Amino acid sequence: MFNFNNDLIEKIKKYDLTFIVPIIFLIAIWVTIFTVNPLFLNLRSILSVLVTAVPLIICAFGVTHVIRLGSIDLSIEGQAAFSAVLVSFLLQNNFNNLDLGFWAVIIAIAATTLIGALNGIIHTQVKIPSFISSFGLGAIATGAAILIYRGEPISITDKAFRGFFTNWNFNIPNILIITLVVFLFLYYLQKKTIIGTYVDAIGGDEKLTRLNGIPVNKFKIISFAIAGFCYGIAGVILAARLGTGTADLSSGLLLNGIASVLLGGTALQGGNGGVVRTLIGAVIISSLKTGIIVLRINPYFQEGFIGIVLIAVLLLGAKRGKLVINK
Amino acid sequence: MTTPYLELENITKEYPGVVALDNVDIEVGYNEVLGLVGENGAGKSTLLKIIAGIETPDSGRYLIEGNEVKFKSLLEAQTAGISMVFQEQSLLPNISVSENIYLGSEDKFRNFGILNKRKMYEETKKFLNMVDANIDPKILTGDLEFSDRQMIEIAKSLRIVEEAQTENSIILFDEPTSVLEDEEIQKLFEIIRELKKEHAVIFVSHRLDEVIEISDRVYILKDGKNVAVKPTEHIDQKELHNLMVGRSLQEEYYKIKDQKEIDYINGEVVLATNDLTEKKNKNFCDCCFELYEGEILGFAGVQGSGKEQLGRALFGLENVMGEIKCESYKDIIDFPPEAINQGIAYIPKERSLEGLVFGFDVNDNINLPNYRNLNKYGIIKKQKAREVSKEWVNRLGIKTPSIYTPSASLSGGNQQKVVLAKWLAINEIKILILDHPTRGIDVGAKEEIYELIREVVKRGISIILTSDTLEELIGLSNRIHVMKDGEIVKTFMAPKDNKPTQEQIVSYMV
Repeated sequence: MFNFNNDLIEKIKKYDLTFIVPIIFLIAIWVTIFTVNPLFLNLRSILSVLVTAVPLIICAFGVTHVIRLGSIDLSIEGQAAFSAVLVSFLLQNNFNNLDLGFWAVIIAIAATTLIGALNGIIHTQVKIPSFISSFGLGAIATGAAILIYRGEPISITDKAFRGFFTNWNFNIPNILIITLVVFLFLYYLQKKTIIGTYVDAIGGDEKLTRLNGIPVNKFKIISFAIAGFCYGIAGVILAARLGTGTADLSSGLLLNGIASVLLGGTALQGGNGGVVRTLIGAVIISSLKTGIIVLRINPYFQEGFIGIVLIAVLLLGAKRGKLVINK
Repeated sequence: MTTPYLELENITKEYPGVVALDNVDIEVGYNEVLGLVGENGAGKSTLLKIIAGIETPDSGRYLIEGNEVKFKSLLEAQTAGISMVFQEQSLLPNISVSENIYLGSEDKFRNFGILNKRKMYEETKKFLNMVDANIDPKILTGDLEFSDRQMIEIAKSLRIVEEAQTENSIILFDEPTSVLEDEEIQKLFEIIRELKKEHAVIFVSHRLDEVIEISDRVYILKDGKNVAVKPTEHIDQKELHNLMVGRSLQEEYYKIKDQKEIDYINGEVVLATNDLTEKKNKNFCDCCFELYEGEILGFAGVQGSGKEQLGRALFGLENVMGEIKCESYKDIIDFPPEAINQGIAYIPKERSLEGLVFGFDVNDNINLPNYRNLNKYGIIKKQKAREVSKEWVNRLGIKTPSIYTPSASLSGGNQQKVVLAKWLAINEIKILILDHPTRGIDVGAKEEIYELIREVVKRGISIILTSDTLEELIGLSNRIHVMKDGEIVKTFMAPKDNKPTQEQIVSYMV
């Protein structure tokens, strides 16, 4: 049965297709966009596409570590929403008299980092699959966010805060600099620290890693906390961009976030991949969305289209038949 | 009298249903290479695991240099200078060689959380040089050949014993040669002789000539008991083998008098293969054979000869090309339901992983493949299913409190009977592929399984058999195909009055 052209696929795979295919695909999208609409061929519009993609990119960075562990995190939207609402609540706004300024950002990100850690603790200590623990915790975080504003969306009146995340300096958006810093931090973590090595080891074979005397649970919790840290940043950016904090700001980040990681070529079974790949994957998704508009495809197809692309790219790249996400 | 380096006294270890080790005593001297031999299931691996700290004994004393130790983990044993080179490799394929060698012990390369990888690579090189392996420490472990990975395992062990900083240390080798080529084995032996100058070594292998060549003394284990210890200077393979097996072929044990006569001239061929080849790794190539009705066809071969894969291929579990011919069918089988439609069933080696759904009770496990017949418009006929499972529990004498007992709580032998029952309950099944059917079950239960196999054959079912021991294979089979490097190299007839000897078969296996 399902063995169409397996030989061919095996052969191509030797050239680490999981890395090359996404890049080729990304180039193809942009070539198409430029051909259809040459006006797009300037730095500013390309940067704009990237700016739109930032919350997605940062969330996808976060979940990358978790997926490399061989686990999954379904609390992306919940945590990002919580962070967005919390930061709006703590800043100068039309809702209460709190005005913590810079500290609001720190508190919001610290809060999701803790939620992330809690995610890992529930997963490892209660010993339930991360699939379930993160799903439940995500729902709780969304619920908590709604409880904070009780149906009355909070408008942020702190101009300095919004400006920090939306201004451009020297033709470069601030937000891209922030993204670059987060990227470098995570890349460094992955390549140069013990956390990066252990995350791969756990994703490769958890039992074996444990046998080498490595505190597997500790590193799982750290990874989930890093993920929470990223969702927190994404939530703050969302709140700054829209000037308001509601629970539905983050909708779409879960599907697209995990899709970015997979599109970039990080395998769902864990043990490989990383943030460089995820960056490419996330940019592909945002570019696709832009492309759909430029090519005047009915926007109602957008969601379905991304699904088709995801499956198509994974068909070529991923090691099929061994998808395990119940860790 | 001097104290030996390592001593085990009266070590006993029981697993549910099996006594793995029964009052075993062992001594290892300083700078000694100690051989350890025994059949599969004799307790070699368990013994090594106890020495390495992975398992704890139920009773008995474990002494190092005269002091009693109680290791709770592999890590504790490692800090005491005990390191094991694993049979099934313990390296992670998705990280680099040097990351593997230092996994869990990176502390000395850490500066404020940042790893000094360059220094780590250099240190790794030192250990790789010790085993004379020219491997780039940066390369992904999974990209290397098996024999190279074996060298990395050894390098890792050397790193572990060096870091233990104990005066003396021991390295355990668990069947390190089973997949190595002759040349690589010689290289390994040179390394072991080198190691012997500084460490003690325990060497486990099922190749007796190797054990005699490399060891100073050899312990022989049989059914969890220590039956003899001999210096290797004055022992030959045959003597060692007799001690290990402990009995000549036992007619009674394998019910040889019940063996069916097969008419190879007029008998019906129920299954034939034509140039069956495994596509990806060429685990077996161009295999042609015929299976007669009521025949037990044995496949002999060393690990890696492709015999298990060949059996799996007939059930559609391998990616193959060639042809499988059944009564009304002529193609490859690439999908288990298709195999079942052709009346072929497979009893896997890994009972716990592939044979039974552990969360299911006996009733559900027996009926699992049969539910396709036991339903009406998709609704299961529960009453009928219960009757079927009760019938088979009685017929096979499965010892279970009730049919609703979880399968996981049965003993190994009874679990295996459940696996057999689920296929025998389907009337259409005409061919059983038995992959190591008596693995991990004790002697008494084995005998019952043999009886069952004879019984099944009487009903006209044919069997393809691979086995843990040659003795068992010879005892049960009507005919034996010997496989080597994926090809069938020789066929022995094994009628009940004229069985081939193990030596005859082994000479074609290697």
